Amino acid sequence: MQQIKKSKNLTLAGNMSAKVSSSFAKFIYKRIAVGLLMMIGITFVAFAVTQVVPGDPAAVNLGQSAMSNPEIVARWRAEYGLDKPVPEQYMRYISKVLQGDLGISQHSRRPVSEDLAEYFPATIEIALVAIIFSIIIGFSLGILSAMTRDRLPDQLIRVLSLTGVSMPTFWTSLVVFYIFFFKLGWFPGTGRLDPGGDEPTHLTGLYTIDALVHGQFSIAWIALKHLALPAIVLATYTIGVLTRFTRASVLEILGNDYVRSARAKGLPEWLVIKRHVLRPALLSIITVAGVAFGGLLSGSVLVENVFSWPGLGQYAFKSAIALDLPGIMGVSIVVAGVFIIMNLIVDFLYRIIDPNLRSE
Amino acid sequence: MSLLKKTIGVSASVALAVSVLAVAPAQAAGKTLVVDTTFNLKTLDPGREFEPTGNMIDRAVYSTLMTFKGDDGSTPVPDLALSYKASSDSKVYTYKLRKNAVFSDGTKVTSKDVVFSLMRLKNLKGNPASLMDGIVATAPDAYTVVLTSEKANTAIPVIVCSPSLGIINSKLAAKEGAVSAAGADASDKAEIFLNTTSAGSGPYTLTKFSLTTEVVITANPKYWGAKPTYSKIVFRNVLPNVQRLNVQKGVSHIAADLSPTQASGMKNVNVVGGVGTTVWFLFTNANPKISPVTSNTDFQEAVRYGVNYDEIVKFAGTGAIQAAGVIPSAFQGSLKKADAIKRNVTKAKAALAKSTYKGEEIPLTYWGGGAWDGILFDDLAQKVAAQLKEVGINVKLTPTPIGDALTSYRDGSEQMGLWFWGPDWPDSSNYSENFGPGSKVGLRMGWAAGSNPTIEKIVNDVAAESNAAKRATLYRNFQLELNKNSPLMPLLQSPSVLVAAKSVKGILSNPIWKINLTELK
Repeated sequence: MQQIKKSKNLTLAGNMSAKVSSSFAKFIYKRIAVGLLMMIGITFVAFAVTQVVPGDPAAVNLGQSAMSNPEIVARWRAEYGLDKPVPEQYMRYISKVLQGDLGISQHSRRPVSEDLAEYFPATIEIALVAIIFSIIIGFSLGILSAMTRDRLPDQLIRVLSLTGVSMPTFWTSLVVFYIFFFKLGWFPGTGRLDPGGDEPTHLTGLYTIDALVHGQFSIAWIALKHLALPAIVLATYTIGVLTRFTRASVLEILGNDYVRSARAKGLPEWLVIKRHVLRPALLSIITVAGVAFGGLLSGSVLVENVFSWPGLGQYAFKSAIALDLPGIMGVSIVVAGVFIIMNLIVDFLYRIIDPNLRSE
Repeated sequence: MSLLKKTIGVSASVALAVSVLAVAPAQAAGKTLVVDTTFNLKTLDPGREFEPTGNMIDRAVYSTLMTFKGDDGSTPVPDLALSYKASSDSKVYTYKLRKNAVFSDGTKVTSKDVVFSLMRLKNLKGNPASLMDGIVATAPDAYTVVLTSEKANTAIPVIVCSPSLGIINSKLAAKEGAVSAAGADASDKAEIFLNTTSAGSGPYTLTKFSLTTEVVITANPKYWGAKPTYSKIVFRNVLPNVQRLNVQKGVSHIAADLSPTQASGMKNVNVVGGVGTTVWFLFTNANPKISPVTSNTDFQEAVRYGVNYDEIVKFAGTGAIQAAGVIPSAFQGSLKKADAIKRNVTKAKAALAKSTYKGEEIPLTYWGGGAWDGILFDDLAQKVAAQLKEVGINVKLTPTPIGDALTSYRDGSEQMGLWFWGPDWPDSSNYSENFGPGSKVGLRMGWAAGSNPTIEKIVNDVAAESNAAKRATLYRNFQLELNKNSPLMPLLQSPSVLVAAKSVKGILSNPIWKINLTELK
């Protein structure tokens, strides 16, 4: 009897597990489908916005003399399909995008996909390091701040986090560069490597990773030195946000009855925090970190400019200045894609951390 | 407290990891030259490039028929051609090529390569194609090139010095998809190749190319001329503020884009100052349909004498000078300082009283947030507006994004505009052809053909005149008349500043390619 009961329980558990994994798969498929629709929507919005912006791409991309030659202007417009009506331009663009062709950049005159493949890894590298800095420092400082509420460390951390959030990135970049490169000489100058330095053998486009994988340790070290300062600057805002968010979450959880009960039972403070505070606090922190990562990509423009970092931000800036529609659209699609993927990852992590969500 | 310690521990570890990165800045080793500049670069294909950074790099990679030395931009000297002869009607130019010139792969440079390169530029119909407008290149023999122009063209000797007219290895380029015949605009596929592997006969070859980061060129071992001092030159795309720090720190050797203000007070570096060829000007639209006020000649006179030119030059900083006329001071037929317009408030007020102006706001359009040669459009526009206010003209500042500003400028719809002109080719004909009534800039100012027969006659006369001295006189007359009776007010010639490490010898600012890199010691 007992065996039958056990077997029934196992079957029930198996069914439950299958049901949960099936619903989870459905959830993933649904999110991917929604994500793709969102991407198409984003291309439409980005395209519409670029049409609203005044200015003639030919005027920006062609020189004084070329602009006065109607034949040159007409050839240029035809080359980029700008001689077609706007709806037709969009339909042609979207049908090409669906075939994996993002068009030719008007300012680099190369396929946008090639441009993105060149610039995107540099931004991903800096953003990854920045988000790792942000999570480690922001999370640690947030907990420290909450645990020392209204005492000196808390006050200091609050001032620091507020500073990080409110300082303009461009200004921070220049000041940090001036102090740590020019005055103290702790970090090398601009760029991903020293001037004219050898690049690592290409694998991912992330210089530090590529160099380490291929055993090119001196290049990895140089790349890491160049990466550190811009990544720290890029992280300052996110550190500020995460610190403040973590502090608020932890304080909120510390006020719950179950935390008070745990303390009343005589559990050591570290155990209370570890068992009853960190896990629920993680949920909201992961949300912020996910959104922040997407924000790091789109917010890297100014940092990349100051540090001459050849990433997506610089490419986006150049595309915008040149009214380079395929370039702008390409960047929009990539950044939107990253946001969507990050949201998907956040939802996935939610379900790992919070068992209640798995059955939903 | 244990968790507190752990938290502090993690933070400390991160701080330690960061401090471990503390190292001395990288130093450029040996004979490598690092040039920091803000990239204005689209391509290094000579047939397509027409931007300042492209000129700087292609000058070192591609030889041209003739070239300029040092900071000169008006006297062509031999490069691939040893000499040239012009026909008396200035329509036919015959160039004799040197026989020892070779490309970086060792192939001899012949007239076939020259014709291929120049006709390719023309038929690509890209940005620099207008340099070859109405010109056809032919090769009667292996070392003779003939350029024939449809009309008299006295600018050809200087046009051929442009890096856009760099000579490419025709055999190699054709193998990589280069086309010189009609239809090249659709069929030529060599740009990507020329952005990765140069095909020139200059002192350097292209090693690395990135539009946004870094371009590296290395000495061409097969260069037929004097070997350059530096074996490698690295061009880095860097903001001016950062350029200043880099050159002072010794991380770079040359900062190419500092304003005189930024360059002042710098220690342990050489500051090379010079007058650039960029001329800034103000105009009031002469088309009554655009504005009945600005098209009024009395109003134009009020603006002409209301501007305080001395103040504007002071504002632009060391090295800037007043533009005595629209033709820069380095070019043939430029005006002397004494010929420049001088502020006369009484005259301006009297002219304004005679005009149709009733105190309304006149929009002044310019590139909002834009800067050139270290001069900010917004600051200059504010200066002009404040000065005109003193004579009773209310100017409404209209900063506009570059794309939109260029569009309104080029379609002639700006009531007042603040712009600059950099020469397409370093010759005064570039100005006589573009600033008269009915010409390119003339139309942008609403100044239709027939508006000033005196100027139009000079423009026609100078185009047909082959005698240099007579041309110079005509150019002077052209500008004197512009200064008196036109909607154009030349303001200033911006300075050109280079900041270089003490170790860099012989650096000069060139009007076409900014730095005489191949001549550095």
